[in-house]
Amino acid sequence: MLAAAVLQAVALLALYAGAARLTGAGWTLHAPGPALLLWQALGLAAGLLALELAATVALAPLGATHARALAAVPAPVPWWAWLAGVAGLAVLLRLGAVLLSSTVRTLRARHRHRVLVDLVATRNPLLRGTHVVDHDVPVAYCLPGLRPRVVVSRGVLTALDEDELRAVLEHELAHVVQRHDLVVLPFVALGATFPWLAPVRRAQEQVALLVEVLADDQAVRRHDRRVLARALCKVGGAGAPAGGLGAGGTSGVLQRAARLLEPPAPLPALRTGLVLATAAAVALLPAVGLLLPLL
Amino acid sequence: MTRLGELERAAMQVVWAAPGALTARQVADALADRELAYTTWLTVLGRLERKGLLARARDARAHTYTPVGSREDLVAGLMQQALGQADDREAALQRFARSVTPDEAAALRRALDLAGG
Repeated sequence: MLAAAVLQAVALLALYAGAARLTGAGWTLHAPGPALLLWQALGLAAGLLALELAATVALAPLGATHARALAAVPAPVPWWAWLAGVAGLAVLLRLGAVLLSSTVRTLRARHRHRVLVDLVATRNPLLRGTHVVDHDVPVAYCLPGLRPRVVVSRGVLTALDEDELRAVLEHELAHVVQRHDLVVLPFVALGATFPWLAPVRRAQEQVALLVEVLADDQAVRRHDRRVLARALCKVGGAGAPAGGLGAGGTSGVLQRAARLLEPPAPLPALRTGLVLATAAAVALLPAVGLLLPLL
Repeated sequence: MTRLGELERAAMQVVWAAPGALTARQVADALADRELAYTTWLTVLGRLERKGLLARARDARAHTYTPVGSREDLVAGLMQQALGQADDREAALQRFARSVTPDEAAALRRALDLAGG
């Protein structure tokens, strides 16, 4: 049982180190899709392994294996076993509660925003029903979800020419259609659960950037790369608003523009295969971790 | 948008345009060309009040409605949320381009010039 806990902890640390390496890896911008898949596998495996470790620690004092430990539950339990069990349970409950409340907060903020957009925005049928808000600062975004909205400010309509505008709308539509909000959501929740862990924060930033890159790629299928890069420059470079960027964070806009102007070579098939195989192996880790205490 | 959403929009336009508080009857009269029942407008105003967009007060004989914020206030609030994406921990919306620093903006323009864009 102790060995199982140690192995689970080692696996968790390995995932942590892997996430740190993935954050700095240059190849992710060459293959955003496989990179996102690997991130999903990492996030899922880390979350599940943390739960398994908590359970192993909680049950360890009771018996050599989970089965024996559970069979021994009616027997008198020493105080330190109670302590370990309560600690494991507390971690479990906290994880669940924060994941849930963070998700609910996101959905609520989104709903409120949509109600207001529907109230004050005008719709432009020429732009696929885009919602236009009467404001000078150029800003374009989408509200994802089951009732998505693509919103642009009047400032965007004046700053961009028609080609640029269509490229931007294609980018936002990619977010909506490919449900990028669901890709980002678990990492927002993980970030809310472990705000003090720098790698978790960086993972959240990376996933957000990769999702933008994916939408850029979708947009340049039908639009000129330079047109989209110009739109990035015009919208991103317009008046720094209050709040702005968090300390030390980069907007990712420069990286995206560079990538648009000089398209990176796609990752060789062998390396893509390696990334996907790694993602599959990582996703299987929690299953192995679950079996360990049963041996 | 749903039909009710469209009616809420119309009712808000009337309330925003009015110089002072309006009764439900006055709102219904202003929108008489839609040929809807008075009770429909009562429902619409009630929904807007529950959403925190209208404030209801008791006048001498009837309830009156005033907007909680002007149209400009609502737009400003929306844009603040949209532009404050970096601090938006909920990531409620996905923005096309986050605001860049002046240095980044200069680098962006240089890159575009080099590319002949």
